Amino acid sequence: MAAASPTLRNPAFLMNDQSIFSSIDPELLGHLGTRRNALARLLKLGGITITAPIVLASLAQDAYGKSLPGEVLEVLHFALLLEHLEDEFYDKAMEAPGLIPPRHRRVFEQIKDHEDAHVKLLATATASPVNAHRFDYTAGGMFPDVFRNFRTFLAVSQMFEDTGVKAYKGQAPRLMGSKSLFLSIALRIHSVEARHAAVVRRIRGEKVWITGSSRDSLPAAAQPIYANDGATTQLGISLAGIGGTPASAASEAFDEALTKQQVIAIVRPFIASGNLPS
Amino acid sequence: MWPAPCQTRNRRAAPLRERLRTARYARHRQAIEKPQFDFSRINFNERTSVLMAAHDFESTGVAAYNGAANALRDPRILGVAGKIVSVEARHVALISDLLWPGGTEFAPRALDSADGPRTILRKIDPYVVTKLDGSRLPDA
Repeated sequence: MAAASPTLRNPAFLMNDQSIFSSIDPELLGHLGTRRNALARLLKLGGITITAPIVLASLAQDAYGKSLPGEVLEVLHFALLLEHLEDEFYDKAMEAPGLIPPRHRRVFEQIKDHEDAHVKLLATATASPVNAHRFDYTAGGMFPDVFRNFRTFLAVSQMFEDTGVKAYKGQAPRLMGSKSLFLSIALRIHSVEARHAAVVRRIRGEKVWITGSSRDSLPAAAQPIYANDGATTQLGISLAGIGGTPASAASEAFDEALTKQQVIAIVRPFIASGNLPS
Repeated sequence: MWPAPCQTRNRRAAPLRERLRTARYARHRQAIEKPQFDFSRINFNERTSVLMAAHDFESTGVAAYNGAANALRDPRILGVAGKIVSVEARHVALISDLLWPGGTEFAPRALDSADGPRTILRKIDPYVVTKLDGSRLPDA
């Protein structure tokens, strides 16, 4: 990635010596049968500008015929909104002079490239090429120096990444069953968002995981992100106290989900215009 | 999947998860025992060797959870698997940053891997003594 300039938007996996299919599940390819060979031939015909996420998304569409089930589409639109929010955020941050110190630029360039790939994938899958939302990263003045002060930028970044993880997690069960193709895609984005969240938390000097419902050093506006994280019971099994395990560890070992309504309430201050999902 | 056998991170959380799994296994008719592991190829006196193994285990864990999701039928189980996999992903990002500070290895790709059980069993084979038979596992 070192060679990529900030204006290049190439997904990271295209920079590697890997076939375009290497980022796609073997089982997904199996699912698609002969369509795979047709696409492979097409891609070999030179002058390939299509990105792996786009291939993936169009393959996915193909697996369902032209129309996606309504619930899947609803989840993907919601995810796309969050990805746009992140993608534009990092675009602006990378362009803000002096905001990101040189030693952290590779990290944020990588995160930006990933969000861009996620946008392309979801935009293709939902046939929504244009972002219909305008964002306000000051959140109505709550973070006035978000693109001038690295600490403020990091705080908002952590808010977006931790929210992203919890949003995908909350939607995953809606993608189960016959819609499992998108469950796989959503989960593979979900764990990447968690990697982003961890590295941002680390740069901020925080633990990479969440203890209880603590927002650590984030401002009060971030508290709803961690509202569910105090849980110490999973599948009806109370974990705190087992073998002397403290409640803090019982909560740290599990990242809690957020509902769509909770996520919308968290990101609403950052959305200047455009429809919010119901 | 059983817990990534890694003592280098969250010492308290790992045995806890193990207990949760044990509790689940115990309730299941076809409960399986905890396998025996062989960590002799890891040099526990050498930082990089330990971190590389930890990185390997955590990455494999993420790919395993992601790859197993389509085999789950109960949304509650999927939900709890989702709560664990993102913690594993946080672990691998932390370990990557310890090994390669400031680099891009913390998240090498825009989409994480998703490996089916048989691929995972092959990957962890060098560390597992117990003979594991994955032939009846769904390979999504």
